[in-house]
Amino acid sequence: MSDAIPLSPFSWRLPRTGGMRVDGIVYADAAMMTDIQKDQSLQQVRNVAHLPGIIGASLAMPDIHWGYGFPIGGVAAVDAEDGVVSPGGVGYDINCGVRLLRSRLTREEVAPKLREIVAQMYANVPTGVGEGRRDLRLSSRDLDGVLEQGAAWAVGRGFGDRADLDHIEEGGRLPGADPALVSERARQRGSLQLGTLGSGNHFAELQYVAEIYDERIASAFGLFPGQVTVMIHSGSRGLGHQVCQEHLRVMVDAARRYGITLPDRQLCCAPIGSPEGQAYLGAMAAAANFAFANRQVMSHWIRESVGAALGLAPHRAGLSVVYDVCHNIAKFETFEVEGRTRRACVHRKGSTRAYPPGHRQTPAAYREVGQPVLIPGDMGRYSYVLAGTDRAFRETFGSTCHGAGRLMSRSEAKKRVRGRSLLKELEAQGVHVMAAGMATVAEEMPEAYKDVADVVRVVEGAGLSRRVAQLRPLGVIKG
Amino acid sequence: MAGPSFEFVPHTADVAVRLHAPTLEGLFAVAAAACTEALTDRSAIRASDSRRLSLGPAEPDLLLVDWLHEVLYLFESEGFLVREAEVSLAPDDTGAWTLDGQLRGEPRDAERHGLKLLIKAVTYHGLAIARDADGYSATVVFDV
Repeated sequence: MSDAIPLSPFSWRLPRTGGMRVDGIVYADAAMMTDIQKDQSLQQVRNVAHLPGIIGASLAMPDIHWGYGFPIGGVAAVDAEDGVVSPGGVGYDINCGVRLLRSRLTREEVAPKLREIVAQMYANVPTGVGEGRRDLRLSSRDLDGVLEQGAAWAVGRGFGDRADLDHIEEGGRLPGADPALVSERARQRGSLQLGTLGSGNHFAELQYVAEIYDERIASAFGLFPGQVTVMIHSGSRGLGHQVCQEHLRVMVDAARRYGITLPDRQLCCAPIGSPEGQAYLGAMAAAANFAFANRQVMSHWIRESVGAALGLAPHRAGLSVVYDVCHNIAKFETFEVEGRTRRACVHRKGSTRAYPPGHRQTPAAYREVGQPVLIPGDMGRYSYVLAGTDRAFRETFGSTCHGAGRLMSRSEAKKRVRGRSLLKELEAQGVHVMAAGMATVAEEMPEAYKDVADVVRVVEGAGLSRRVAQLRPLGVIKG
Repeated sequence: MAGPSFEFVPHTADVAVRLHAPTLEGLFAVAAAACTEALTDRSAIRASDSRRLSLGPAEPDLLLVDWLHEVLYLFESEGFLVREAEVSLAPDDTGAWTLDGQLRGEPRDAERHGLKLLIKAVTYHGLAIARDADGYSATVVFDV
């Protein structure tokens, strides 16, 4: 049994012991803590607290589940000068993230054409295994552009508009990207996979705004009840996975050479200023930009798909970007910590930035209400739009949850589904799914996940984010 | 002494497999088979083509992950699916090993080789090659 000490109804402290440099803090309610304590998640929160240069606390969000070294749903901020950078604190899928598009359309307007819209999306956005579309083939120079400029590269090639860039975290381009640091093998994987959704829990979903919780913020975000939206959940594909695995490999040796002892090999790291640290940061930023470009390209094809299905020119449906967030990333950010201004490298693995009103990185259109936070639910259930808060900025390095964690293993999920047709059940609920035919549909069933409504309830209760709207699915495409 | 074998073990978010073999080389060979089985039904793969790989020197557990990443890269870049593997390992005097591997299989045929899932990476999670009375064992976790 752990020594978690309740701090509030929604937060717990894991006191510093042994090699921990800081406390752990877990955001969860009592019922969740009972589940969380059953596996290695809390031990992983404690392990992360061993990282040299860590500031404040090793943090975990209510969607925490155990991962590789770092828990998923974890936040670790380290001093930008003295701290270490750890690829495991970002994850294999660098800049896995979520984009939300709003439209001028209503649920009633699209209802008669739902199947056509989903079919067009499925035809136009490659999912599952295999290469991207033939009409998007990247030369080596093109790929350099993608890695350096991110979403801006895609806009320059006609995928979407300049206006989209103002509504993406970091403007869709993480600074410090160095294409030369991305290996040939990673480049090969990336050049064939730009504009592909991937598989597993990645999806593109046609949705409608089912509930509005805060009218003022919803209005600022351009959301209204019954509005049709599209959510894209995807990352950096094989290029990102390759970058992560290569740098983990380097850091396993590097950590030893720098005399860094850690309780878990997957926490391997190197000082930020070291050659290994800088190499990872440059490659990671490039991979992050690939993911931003990827979501930008897919958004464009989705705009075309919706237009084609409804017989409208793409811009007539008014699909515009609400926001686009990362939930696997490491970024240099500035905070006040114990009265001092400190620059930190914030690792968010399965955690989303949630900046407050007034922050200059909150887009101008939203500066009075806070940064949009996009929380995908699981297939067939709801997703949420939240807004960032001052309290998150003070307590969690401006971070919040990212979604729902898994509850059930894939084998268990498949057993539970046996004899049921998941696709038919979703159809009966009015959700039209097109999947690339792998086993993933059964494994992604809603019951395999925690309920994202509980996760959101806890971050709101803890003051880390405000609920703005709930989105429900109309149609989904998956790998 | 039992021959090489593997079984998938429950894992909440990803795919974990427990490997057993009488020899270290056998463990590496069965790891390649297990990795492929996670992707697709190995019994449908014909051993009609082959690939040769040389890796290392590296410590055995890091080498195992490197090896499996090569197997996955062959799948992703060429669609090559492994039916079976043969591995030889040569130690140096620092405890590091060099691997010479032969993979037999064929390029994926979408009609015959349906995919169960895609593997993003092989992790180091819980990876510790252990010796026991029957030989060697290890658990490998794939991020999917």
